Amino acid sequence: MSNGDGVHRRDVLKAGGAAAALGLGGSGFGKTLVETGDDPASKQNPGVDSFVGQNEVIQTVCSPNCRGKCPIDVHVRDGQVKKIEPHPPEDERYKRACVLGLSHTQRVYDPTRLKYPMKRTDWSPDDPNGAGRGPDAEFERIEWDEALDLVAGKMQSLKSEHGAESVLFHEGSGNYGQTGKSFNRLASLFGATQSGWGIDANVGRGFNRVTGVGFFLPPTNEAEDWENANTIIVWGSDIFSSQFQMDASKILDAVENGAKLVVVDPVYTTTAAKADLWLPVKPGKDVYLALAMMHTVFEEGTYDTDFVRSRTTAPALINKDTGEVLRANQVFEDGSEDQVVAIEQGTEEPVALEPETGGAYALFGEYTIDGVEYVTALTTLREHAAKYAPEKIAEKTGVKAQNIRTAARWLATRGPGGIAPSYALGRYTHGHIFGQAYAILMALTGDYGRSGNIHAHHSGGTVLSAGDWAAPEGSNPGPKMYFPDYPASMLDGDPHKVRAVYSIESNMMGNQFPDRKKFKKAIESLEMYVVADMHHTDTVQHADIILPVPHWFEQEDIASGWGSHPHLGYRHKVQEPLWESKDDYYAIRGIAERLGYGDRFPETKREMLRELVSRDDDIDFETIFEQGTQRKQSVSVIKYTDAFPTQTGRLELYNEDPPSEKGVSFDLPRPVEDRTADDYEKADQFPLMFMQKHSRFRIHSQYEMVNWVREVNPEPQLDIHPRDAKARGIGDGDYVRVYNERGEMVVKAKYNEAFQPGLVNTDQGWWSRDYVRGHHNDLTHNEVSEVGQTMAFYDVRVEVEPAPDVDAEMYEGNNPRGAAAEAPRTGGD
Amino acid sequence: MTGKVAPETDGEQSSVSTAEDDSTQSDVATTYAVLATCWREPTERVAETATAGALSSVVGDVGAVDYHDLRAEYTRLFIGPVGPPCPPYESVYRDADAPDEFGPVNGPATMAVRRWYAEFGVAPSSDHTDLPDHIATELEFAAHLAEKGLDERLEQFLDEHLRVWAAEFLTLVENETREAFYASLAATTREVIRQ
Repeated sequence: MSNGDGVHRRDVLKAGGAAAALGLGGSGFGKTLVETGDDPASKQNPGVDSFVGQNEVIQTVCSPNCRGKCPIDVHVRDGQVKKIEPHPPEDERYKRACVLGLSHTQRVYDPTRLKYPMKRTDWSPDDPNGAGRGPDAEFERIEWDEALDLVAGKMQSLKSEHGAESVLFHEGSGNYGQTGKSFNRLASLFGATQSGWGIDANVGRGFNRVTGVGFFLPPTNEAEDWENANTIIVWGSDIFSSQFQMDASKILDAVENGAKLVVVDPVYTTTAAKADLWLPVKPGKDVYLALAMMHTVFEEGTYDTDFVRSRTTAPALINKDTGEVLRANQVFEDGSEDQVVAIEQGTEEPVALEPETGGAYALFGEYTIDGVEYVTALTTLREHAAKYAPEKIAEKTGVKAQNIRTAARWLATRGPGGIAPSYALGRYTHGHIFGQAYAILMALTGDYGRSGNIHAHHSGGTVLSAGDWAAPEGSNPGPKMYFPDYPASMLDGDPHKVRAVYSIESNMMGNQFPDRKKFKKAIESLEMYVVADMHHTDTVQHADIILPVPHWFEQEDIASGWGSHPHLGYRHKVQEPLWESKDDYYAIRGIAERLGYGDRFPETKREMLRELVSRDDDIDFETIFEQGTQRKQSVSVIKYTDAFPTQTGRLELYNEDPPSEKGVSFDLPRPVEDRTADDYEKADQFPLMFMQKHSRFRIHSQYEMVNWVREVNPEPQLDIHPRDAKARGIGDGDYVRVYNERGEMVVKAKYNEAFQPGLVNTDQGWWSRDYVRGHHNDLTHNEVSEVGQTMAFYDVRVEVEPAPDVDAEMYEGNNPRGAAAEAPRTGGD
Repeated sequence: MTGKVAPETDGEQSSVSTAEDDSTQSDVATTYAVLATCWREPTERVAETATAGALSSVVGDVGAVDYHDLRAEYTRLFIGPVGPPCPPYESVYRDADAPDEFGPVNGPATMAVRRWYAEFGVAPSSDHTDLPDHIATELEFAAHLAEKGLDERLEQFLDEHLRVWAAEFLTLVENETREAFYASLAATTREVIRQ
């Protein structure tokens, strides 16, 4: 194309005709710049003042899902965010913030942020043209009103034709505030299907079988108490790399106070490098290890006798034939079905076990009552654990027997301590079994309810208690659907057909969920896909309606400190939203209005926040607004001090009515493996286990575009042990093809001896555009365990081969990074 | 690449300066105003005017211009959601940490432009949701200065701003666009702001 003979400046300067045709007559041509009415003279050299003036400092909260919820001070000068600093919360022991949080200056002013509501050009409510979604989709700018009209209109017509549950409200975790409550409130009023968490809910479920609590990682003592731990077994968590806001410092405080630090991890992580003892477990063998530690405790007699008698079902009698637990109502006329029965030593008589009540209960042995033979739960557990003696499982787990014993000994004999597992264990299919196992191990060592106990690698923190606001009286909440069940519902109508999705705070469907191809196919079947986000993620690219969300600094909210610290933090707005991005609450309320629920939503976000806060007795709106953070006084620092919310009120070491999988019953923790199993059918074809570790450079897929990060972490790589690499003819820095039966990705190989042979890794959080080809989630699968219901990202096998002819131009020479990676740069001219 | 238009650098230079000498303040202002309008999101009127040939002094003979195609191309080049490949903001080109990166929006350069506007008693209207250092807004300000007859200040503004960054942006547009309209508009804009 060309403009023919070219346009000469002479012609341009005769543009009067053009101006007239465009309607630019007279002096009123200015369409954007208007007279301010200020005396221009007073604005002479306005810069001088602004350079000597003070920064305005606004306190807000960093809110992605690293769980940090760090209060920060944002320095604004001359209308610009200039600098970010940590701000100590009300309780200064929780001082925090990390360098990622300080990089928001780059995210807030990222030129690739979403700017306007948009509609996929070839989508309409009646002709969704699902095949048009994906990389080649084109979008047109629309007005907010049109966007909300389209969304509400389609929701209403789907509700009439197929029922409200055909619309799914999917909520991720990318923006910690209270907006989700308004999202769920709208879903409840409308009757939409609501999303159920299918990530990271594995270990907690198993822990729950013993303790009565846990879905995500269970409650643990607040971090201020961690310094009192005497032994900390960090299990599968690179806490010094991926939780450097504060949790890492609390572990180090304990170490400084003399605690022993044990790290159980298949990887020689940053955390492992700082440990007193590193147990390099093979992937998926963690339950064997926990059982071996239990055996050690039994063998050395280091279990906490008082604790297991008073707070666990250790002395409970189990029917040897049926496996049923003897109940008090079977023995005593006025006995309760909720209570189990033990034998009191001395009298040798059966007694009912009250919660939190000690006594000289027999812990071991077999007893006959009315001609029926019983055995104590602890005896059963001891016999079970004996099958996993350290020497027997050393080779299988890759951990030396003496090191297993040392770790167990430290935990059991050095005073209160704890085990801090991460979500990584739940990223193996049957990870819930580990939850059950370590809950029992800590029961044996008496590590509940004491200062110095730790039960998870992040503390409990707190949330805003808003009662039933998200599912108010008179609403009609639809069914809940776990993430892994999405594809079947969209593609096969199982259990019911989801035809439209409204998604906030999430880059899951197009990026962070496993088996990406399947999820993309599922998305293709939808009639409407609405995605609200701040950036053009892979998920956004698959949307029909894009709703641009402002950066956190442009939204007012209250951040809860869930999984982090016991404060709520007021997220003051630092600047007005750029372009036409608008808070999710604006869209949610706008859709609610159109659907006839407008009167259920306060007019402004602040009014909503005020209404929510009024429901929480610990928090006062004016205080948190002025002060920035407020500690919830009702949050107990030490957890598990009261009766456990189990049937017996005790920790249940033996499960009478257990779930089972693959023919294995979980009355006691019994190892079951999926793809890590030594005899897994495709182990020869795909010999390498594939992990996608969290790195210090991103929070899930957030911060991917930040230039400062890309400078030090420019591209995805495959961590591979040199032995595995050399066996495949792969040199350090070569591009390789990683593949399995689902897909492939092409990345640069990195010799890394921190990863044991047989295990390879690509850090999670990269987007499609970062890969030479494919994506790590083209390799992962969506098969979950029946009990765990949790996506098993690490329970994946792959093979790796050299990819010598691949075109990796995107990472050669002076090619752009981050946000600029999508744009061709000319440079130099 | 398609759409690339070589800047006019031949013997036309002398005639250009002649033309400049002949021009009136109003002509200069009108020129910048027309360019500003063409760099905004296209309206149907812009497409119709171009199709009618009334914009030939700005974009040459581009034939029939389809409004929807023009809008789609504008969206792709300057709005997104992919990229966009050619952010139309000064700070993106001037405030980057490294030559191979896009700089931020709302950067120091944006603030400098805002000060210029304030000094002359104007500002983007409150319902305008785009940034003040958008190419169209800067051209509109140039028109404002020209209209007021502030030739020296116009030259200073061009020297401090449009002449510093627009060339890089315009080259990006020329390399990236699939529409003759924008290729020509870029070439013309380069010519007009040239010293």
